[in-house]
Amino acid sequence: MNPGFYLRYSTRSLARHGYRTVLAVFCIGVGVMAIVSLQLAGLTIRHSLTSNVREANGGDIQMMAVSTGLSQDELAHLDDLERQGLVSAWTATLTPGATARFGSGPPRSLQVQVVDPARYPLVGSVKIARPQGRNARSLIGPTGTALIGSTAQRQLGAGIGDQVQLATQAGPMTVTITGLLADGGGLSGGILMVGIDTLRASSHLPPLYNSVYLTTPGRSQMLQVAADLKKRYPVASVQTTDDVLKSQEDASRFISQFLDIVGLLALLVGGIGIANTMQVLLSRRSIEIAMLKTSGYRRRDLYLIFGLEAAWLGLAGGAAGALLGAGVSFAVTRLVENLVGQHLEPQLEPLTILSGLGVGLATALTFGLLPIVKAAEVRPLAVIREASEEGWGTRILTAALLGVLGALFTLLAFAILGNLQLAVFGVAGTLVALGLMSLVFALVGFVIGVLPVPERVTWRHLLLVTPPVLISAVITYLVPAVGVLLLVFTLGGYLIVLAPRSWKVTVKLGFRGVGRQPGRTATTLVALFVGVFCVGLILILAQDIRSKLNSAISSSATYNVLAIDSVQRADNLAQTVPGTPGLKAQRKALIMSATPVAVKNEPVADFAPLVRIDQRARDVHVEADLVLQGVHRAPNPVGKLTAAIDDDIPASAAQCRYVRRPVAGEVPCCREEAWIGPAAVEQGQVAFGDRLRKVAADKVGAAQDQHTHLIASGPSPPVPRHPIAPRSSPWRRPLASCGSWPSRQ
Amino acid sequence: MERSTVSALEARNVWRWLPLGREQIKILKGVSFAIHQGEFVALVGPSGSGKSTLLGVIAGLDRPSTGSVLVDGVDITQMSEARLAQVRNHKIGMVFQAFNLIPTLTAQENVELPLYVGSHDGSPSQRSRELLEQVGLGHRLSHRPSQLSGGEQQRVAIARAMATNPAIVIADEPTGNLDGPNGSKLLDLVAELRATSGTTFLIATHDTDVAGRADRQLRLVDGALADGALADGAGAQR
Repeated sequence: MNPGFYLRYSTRSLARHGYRTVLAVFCIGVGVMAIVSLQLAGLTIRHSLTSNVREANGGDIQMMAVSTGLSQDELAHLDDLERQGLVSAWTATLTPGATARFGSGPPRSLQVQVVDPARYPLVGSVKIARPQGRNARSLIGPTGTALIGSTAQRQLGAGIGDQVQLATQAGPMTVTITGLLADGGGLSGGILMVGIDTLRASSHLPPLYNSVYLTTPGRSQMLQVAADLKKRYPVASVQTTDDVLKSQEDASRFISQFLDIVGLLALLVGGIGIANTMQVLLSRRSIEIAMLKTSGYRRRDLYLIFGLEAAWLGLAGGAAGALLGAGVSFAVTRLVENLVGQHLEPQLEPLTILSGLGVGLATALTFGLLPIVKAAEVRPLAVIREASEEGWGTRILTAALLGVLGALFTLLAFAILGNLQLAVFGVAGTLVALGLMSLVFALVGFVIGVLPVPERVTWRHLLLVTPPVLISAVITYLVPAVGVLLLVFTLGGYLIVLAPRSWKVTVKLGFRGVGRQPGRTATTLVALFVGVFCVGLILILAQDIRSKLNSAISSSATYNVLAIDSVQRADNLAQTVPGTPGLKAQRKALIMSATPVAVKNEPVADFAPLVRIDQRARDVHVEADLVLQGVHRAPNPVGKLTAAIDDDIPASAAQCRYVRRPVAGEVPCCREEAWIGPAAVEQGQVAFGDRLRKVAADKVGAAQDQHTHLIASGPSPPVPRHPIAPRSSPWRRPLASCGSWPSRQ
Repeated sequence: MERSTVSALEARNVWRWLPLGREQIKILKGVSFAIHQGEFVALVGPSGSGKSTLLGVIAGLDRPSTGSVLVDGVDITQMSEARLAQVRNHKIGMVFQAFNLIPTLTAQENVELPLYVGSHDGSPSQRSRELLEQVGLGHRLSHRPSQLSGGEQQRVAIARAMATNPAIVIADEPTGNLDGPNGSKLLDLVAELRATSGTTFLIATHDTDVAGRADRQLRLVDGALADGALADGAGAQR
């Protein structure tokens, strides 16, 4: 054996086949490009979701007590934990709703975030857009200063140096804008950030913190402290970086796997392409192969020569695909970025790019196996006379090779997906589908091969053509996209009789050519089908992702337009909105925070001792009159609110999701198997239906009812100018469901 | 030329039949003959007489239905495919009407082709250069088949067939694609090679001139050797 000779032989053969070689390289290149670009996009998404998880969580542990709030005294326990060395540092923030007014402008509702600038944030930093080079501590450390988000700045029209009046639950205050918060970084653009000293200076009430962030020396301490916090603060929700990471990883793994599957499909198309191309290339070389055998070349020598050719194709396609894939990954990343609305930092991992070479090589060898082995089966006698037709031995060999091809592609899929079950079922299912499709296409090829091309119109011909034309017409009526093609083809049966003789000969040759190689016709049609299928699938899935996101937004926000205004101005707004052109429906509601303490006089602590507030659904409203009594722990306590209304009140599905057991009278829910009760408790906050609203308003008074939500929806849902999406992560599950109201960010 | 008593090739009662639908078509009907070392034998016969089938069987490209073929004294009919490949490589050289050179390889590489499989003494490039010099193409070593004339291509094919110094060179209509002068030159070359190397030649041909230059002729008619087929040809009487 002479390696140099084998290399020369294989490369020159490829060079000789010109555009067919280019086509084979293209097939592999496209598949590898898809795999590499989608893998890089998956890596990018995974990296963006999991790399800054500690920063996103605000520390190792995040504790939220949204409706109840936690006082300084209650948080003293954290100092104990710090002294014990279980906690490295902690800081607390509160986010009272507020109405802001700049100059003589209208009051605007926005969120105030009160932080301790000396300690906040524990991880990372507050990103300042302007003035550059300054930090939050220096900008909001002094009393009476504030940082403003871009959205809030637009709404108020206030800039750096301007004074803004705030009306909060803690009381009125005036702040001077000292800086502009940068967009992103986990902070909403609609906030105003002030220091805790500013709040203390304007309010005689002790602050009630909604969020607490803690860092710990290590993971074991984190878990220990998290368990301790859950026990000590049952009304708070505790989230560790492990929790965040898990949910982020689940989401990113799903995305990566989805992208890998799409890439594999593309690779499958490339593989079928290369199998087809090599089949054509090698079948044209049967005399050459027979000549080599005549000269004493054995099967294994031929495997080596043609395997080298396939390897060159794979390497060339892999290299081109990997390079293009790296470039295309930027485009895919941008596409995903647009879909999810989050900035993603493209990751160009060298190993993934290099793996493109391996994927190209493996694909070429895997899909080249069938044509290579079949080529090596050419009998040396073919050098003297044309080889006889395929026998049963060759057919059995082909079937066995297809089995080997399936096994090898499964291995490749497993290597890419990292999931054996998915790889096995995916590839097996695909092969079965392709096999069935090949049979159908082979049948189509056979039928085309025997179609008559008559010289003149005969009754027999008309009887043959008319039924398919009628069937095609019916299909056209039912499925126009498919039927039109069939109709055109079958109508050709009439027209061909009228065509010139030379056309008839050409058509006849074409038909017979198709029928002579039904296997190859079927392979080509399958490759075409898979290609079109993949492109369609990618488009449909992309649309599906978009529609899912839209649906997530629309299910978490059951409106197109949300207007939030102060109670004082709500009536004005309510009068204006009905006249809005295109308005289909509108709803208004009053929100107040409450922590239920008993249901039908049964203390909540008795049946739900570890009730925690689910921050993802903290503002769920119940379009029903709940049977409960609640105490609001706001700075201006509203006292007890007791109401006992009807028992047959439908509840929302959002509530049903949270129901664990029937309690207190077993009030039926909107779904028969679920019950109302702890649902409201677990949500932590309760909104009141119309009847209770009046009662609540009377008892609570306007000062505590910060906002009125006014909801309007048009006949054809327009895209909101400022889509409402979850704040920190696009992958966070939506509030979801019937009748639930959106979380107020 | 002195005739050796050792057979370079021997066919013993070779039958070959092929299925055609439910019937078996008998292509070869008990063909037996022997070709001695150094002989130049012409296989002649009308179209459809079974010449190509016989060439395939005796060259180890096909197997007889019954009977046996001995190449250089070794029965090749029961050999495995791998062993048969070795025999084709070492013992048999083949030349075809259509030359069948590998178009992507140079003349020298084409001649080297059989030397890259199996074990052979000496350097393939040295051997190929010698052979190409011998067939008068020493100046065409790096030319590809498309850059050579038909006569030159056939000479390269003969050099390739001779590369492994086989027991017999089997040629199927080697002059079929050549004009008269080139065909004649080729036969001169065959005679020269026989003289220098003592190689045995079996040539299947329609051309009476070619057949006339053979030591003897095997006349195949309807799958069987005609009476007197083993008679010496005109060439043998020279």
